[in-house]
Amino acid sequence: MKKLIFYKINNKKDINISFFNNKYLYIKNKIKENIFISYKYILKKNKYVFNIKKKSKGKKPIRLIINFIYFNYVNILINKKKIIFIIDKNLNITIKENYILKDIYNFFFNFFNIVIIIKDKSKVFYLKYKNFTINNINYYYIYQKKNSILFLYDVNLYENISYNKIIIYNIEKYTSNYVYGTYILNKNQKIKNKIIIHDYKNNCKNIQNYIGIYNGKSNIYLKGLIKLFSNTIKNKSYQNYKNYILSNKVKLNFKPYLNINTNNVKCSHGFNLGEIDNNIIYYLQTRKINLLKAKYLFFLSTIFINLKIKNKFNFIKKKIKKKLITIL
Amino acid sequence: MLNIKKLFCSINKTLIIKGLDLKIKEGSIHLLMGPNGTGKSTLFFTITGKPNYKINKGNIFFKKKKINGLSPYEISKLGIYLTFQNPIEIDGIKIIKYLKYLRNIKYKKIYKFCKVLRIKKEYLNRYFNLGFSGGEKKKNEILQLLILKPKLILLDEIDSGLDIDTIKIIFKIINNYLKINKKSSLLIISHNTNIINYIKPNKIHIMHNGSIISSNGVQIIKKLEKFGYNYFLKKNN
Repeated sequence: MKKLIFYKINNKKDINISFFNNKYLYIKNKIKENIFISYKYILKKNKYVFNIKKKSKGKKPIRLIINFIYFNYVNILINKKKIIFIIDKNLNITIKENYILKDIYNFFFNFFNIVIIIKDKSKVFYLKYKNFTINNINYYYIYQKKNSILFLYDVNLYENISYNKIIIYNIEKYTSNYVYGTYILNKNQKIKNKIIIHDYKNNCKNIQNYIGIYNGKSNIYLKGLIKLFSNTIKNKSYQNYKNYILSNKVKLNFKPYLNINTNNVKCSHGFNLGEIDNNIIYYLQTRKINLLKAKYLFFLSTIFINLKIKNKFNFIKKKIKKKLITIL
Repeated sequence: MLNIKKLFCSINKTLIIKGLDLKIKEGSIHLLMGPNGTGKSTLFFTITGKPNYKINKGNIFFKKKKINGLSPYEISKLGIYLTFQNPIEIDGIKIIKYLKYLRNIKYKKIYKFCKVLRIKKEYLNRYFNLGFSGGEKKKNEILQLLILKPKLILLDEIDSGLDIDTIKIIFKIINNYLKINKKSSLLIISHNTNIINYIKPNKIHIMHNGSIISSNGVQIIKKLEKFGYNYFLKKNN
């Protein structure tokens, strides 16, 4: 089994950080052309600190994959750890969560805190996606420094019971963050998410775009809060939640909040319960596309407009397509 | 091929088509003309089974099969194809992927159709009708027509808002299509009397107030150019 797992994560191009059963840590490609990773482990707190530093000049993008590998888990049902990434200046990094599970009980709970500190002029793409039906309680704390950019893709397709808290701190000027969320849920999936953004300084840009398609008895609670502290000027914050409900038993609880304690800022927030555009469905049907496929194409287009996913996460498009077929 | 018998149709309880009769034989070309708001487009939407377009009375037969009550998908599967006056835009879906979705056709063939329509290859990588000019949208409709190979083509003002070159290209393709598929029929809506320079209809129908008031050959066009629709209205009264 170990061989198989190693084979899966052994990607020459990417940096791989792998956690085996909460005990062992393995780093593949620790040193790349223009980057190197140093790490510290604090045993008492079960805390890992990764320092991603620049070795030479150049802005080559780096892909980093965090692998969480669990197998034959019997004794411990809750897995708890804290992971801290400190990303150096002028870096372009893509971070992707990857779960490899073998023989895990349904009661298994994955609990961890991820802290990301993005230093000046760095760009981070973070994909928050669980490729298995596991239960989660995850906290993300992201600290952004001057001129840093964050793209966070919050994709929820298979999580059973999930509670996520994403807190972004814009602690310096000219930071921007874009949170693109996609929720496609059915059956008894329960998700409770909180996205909280704190703007402490001027000229920060925050954009939250969420789209959700719900069926079955799925239950969603989502709170999006953008907090603009006093003395912040020329900040821009937008929240947009678009939802489609396909069943009467779906429960939605959305709370878009803007907490503005200052003047001279641009802010807006909105929540939509959308209907299927019958003109598009009719148009597609007149082209020999049946109702189910027409709906599928309609939702696919609305998701892809919203998600604005980069080429590096193309695999997620396939996952979304797969899930969408099961939900309609 | 298409046989409409005393059709009454309404949208939101407003009666629009009032006792319309129309017969289209295999391999024939029909032109439907009439003032604005007489129900020409409504007739097309009714034939293709658009929801909310209620048939109050009468029947539509396609190849001796009754098609009222069928879904747009079932009707299109029988071989009826409608080009829209204002084609819709679908963001997020590329044309090339959409075309592959319509029919499992080889890329080579799609490129061949593009060449005929004078469309660049890059056009196929754009999102469906998004930011397209009127001509590009209409060309996209014809491209889908070539891929789907329908038996009855309904063209809803295909020539409106197009330059002469594009009109020529489109009608050249349609004429070729009808030559190859001899059993296919065509029904066009147009406000342009010059259309007879590009296509030769077997019959021209004048529609007014939800029904056909006059049907004849090409000679109708000359009277129409001379006296306008009033001539036919007076004659009908």
